[in-house]
Amino acid sequence: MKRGLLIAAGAVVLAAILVTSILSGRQQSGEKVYVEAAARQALTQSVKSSGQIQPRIKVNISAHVIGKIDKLYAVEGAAIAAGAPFLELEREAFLAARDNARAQLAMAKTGLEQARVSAADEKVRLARAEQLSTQGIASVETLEAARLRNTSADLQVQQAREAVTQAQALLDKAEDDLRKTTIYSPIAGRVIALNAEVGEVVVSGTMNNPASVIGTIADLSEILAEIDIDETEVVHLAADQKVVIKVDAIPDHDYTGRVVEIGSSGYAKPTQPDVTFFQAKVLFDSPDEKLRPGMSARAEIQVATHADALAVPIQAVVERKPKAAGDATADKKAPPVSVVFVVEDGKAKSVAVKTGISDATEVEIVEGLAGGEQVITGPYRALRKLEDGDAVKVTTPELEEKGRKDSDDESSDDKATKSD
Amino acid sequence: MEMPEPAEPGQAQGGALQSVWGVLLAPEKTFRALAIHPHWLAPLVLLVAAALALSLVVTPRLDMKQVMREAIEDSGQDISAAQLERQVEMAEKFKWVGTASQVVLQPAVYLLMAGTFLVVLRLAGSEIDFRRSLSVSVHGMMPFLVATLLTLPVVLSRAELSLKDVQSARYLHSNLAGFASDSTAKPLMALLSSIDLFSIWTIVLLAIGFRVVGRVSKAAAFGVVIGLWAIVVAGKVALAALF
Repeated sequence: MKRGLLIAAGAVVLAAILVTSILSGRQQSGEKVYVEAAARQALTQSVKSSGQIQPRIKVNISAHVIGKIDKLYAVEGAAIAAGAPFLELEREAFLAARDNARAQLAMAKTGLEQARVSAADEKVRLARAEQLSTQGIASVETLEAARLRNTSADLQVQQAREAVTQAQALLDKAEDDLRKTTIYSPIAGRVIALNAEVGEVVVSGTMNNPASVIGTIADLSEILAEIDIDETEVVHLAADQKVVIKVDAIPDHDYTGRVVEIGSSGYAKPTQPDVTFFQAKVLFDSPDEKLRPGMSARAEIQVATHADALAVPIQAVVERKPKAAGDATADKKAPPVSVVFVVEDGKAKSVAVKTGISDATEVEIVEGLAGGEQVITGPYRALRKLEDGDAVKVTTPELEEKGRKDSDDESSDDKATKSD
Repeated sequence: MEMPEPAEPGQAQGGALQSVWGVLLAPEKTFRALAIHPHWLAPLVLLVAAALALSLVVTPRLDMKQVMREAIEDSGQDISAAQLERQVEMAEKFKWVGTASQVVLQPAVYLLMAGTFLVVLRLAGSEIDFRRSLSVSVHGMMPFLVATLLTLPVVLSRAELSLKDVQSARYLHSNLAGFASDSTAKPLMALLSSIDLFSIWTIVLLAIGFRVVGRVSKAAAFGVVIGLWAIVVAGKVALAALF
């Protein structure tokens, strides 16, 4: 009897253990997930990239003639007015060339006068020969000779006249070269580069040779940020979009600007040969003196803004294969669709959504949600394999972290006790 | 006192399965019979089969990527996603090797257990032989056969198991670890899982068995069994603290 009671009691205990273990397992089951309510907020989609500061107007100064720099009026970093002298080359050679040209002109003019006098003389001789020929005194040969000499004299006059024209042209060039020994600033601005010193010989810049650039003047009243935009993002850009510009050298101030130009042809950087970039030029709204050409800058171009977008964290939107009609299993042939999981009655419910713009952390939901739903946002390992109908248990990262910290504290206390 | 010679195998077969139940319901009577006709094959086969069955239901419920990730996080290592993927691939390939190894590992554990009890009991003055020690050891572990049979439906009721579930084997609410949370420290979890209804039942059966079969005093029998159990628990706690 006693033994029978003991066996019965033991069986009851074992049954209780089995039942409580099964029930406890069901309560504990359910993937731990983080949730966030889908809420309306202002959302701005931006394209971010980096580039360099450059002046909008920049002029390279080169010489028109070869010569040695005699005087240098420009100072690097200093302001310069439009029309102000930039530098002077040594003039002696050019003065000598001009004087030589003047003398050549005078000689040509003298030659012309001489030719005219000779021509007049020949005309008189011709008239006499014709008169004598009609009187039968001069021979035909004499008359022919006189006519030839007259023609020759006329040609010499013409030749002398051309020589005068040529000498005048050479004089004009010599005077022009002389004028060009003084270079004036074409614009008002600041000298941002000066590549030569007094005494250096400069060459003419007609061949677009970078080595022929003596200096550079920039108009710093208009500053651009030349930004490299990835080809996948340049399609979102448009003129006049607002930009926030951060200059690395000026971390305590954010500048604003707008897009003024978008490049039409792509290029690759040496460090990223497989990526195609397009250049976007952003004009600063209010540049200041701290900005210098060549500085590095990061631009955030606001390509779209929605003031009242229904947004969820980006990681909440995942892709799943849609279910085939009348079938609980996924249709493997169909392309995946974007879905979010919402918590309903302790289970994850898959909702197909259409997304709109996004910023760094949130994405707009255009269709699929009404607002206020508890959307599952993580952890990633749970979202990765979550399916419609899965049991879930809502928790927070803080609770999980607290649990881990408590566990770590207990471990370290145990280790401290053992070391004591 | 001289131990009686064990009977021929034919004589023991009739009582092989009876002794499995008998040790649970009437342990002293069963061990007295085992002292005369020691046998161990049937209970050993049942224990190995139960362990194999449990492994077969647990293994498919393990998300190897999650298990590896948790194991790596616990160890404090910092590895890249690519390295994790490689380790997961290896773990997936070899996870069934663990199940198959039960066929070899389980008998090895019981042989080692029997050998240890033999040495300690001999030092305590018993004249028990290895065959009887093994017979008592495997029969004394029958409560764990019951536990494994109860565990099977519990595991089958769960879609997935975590690394902590497997490490602490806290499927059954028969030990104090069943009431601990996921954030409980590993050494404490190891200790709590050792304070178990089925462990206590096994300790009692082994003590009765070695008292009857080994012909030592009650105090000596309990002292040997509880002492060795405490050493095993201390080892579990130390390993949990280190890894």
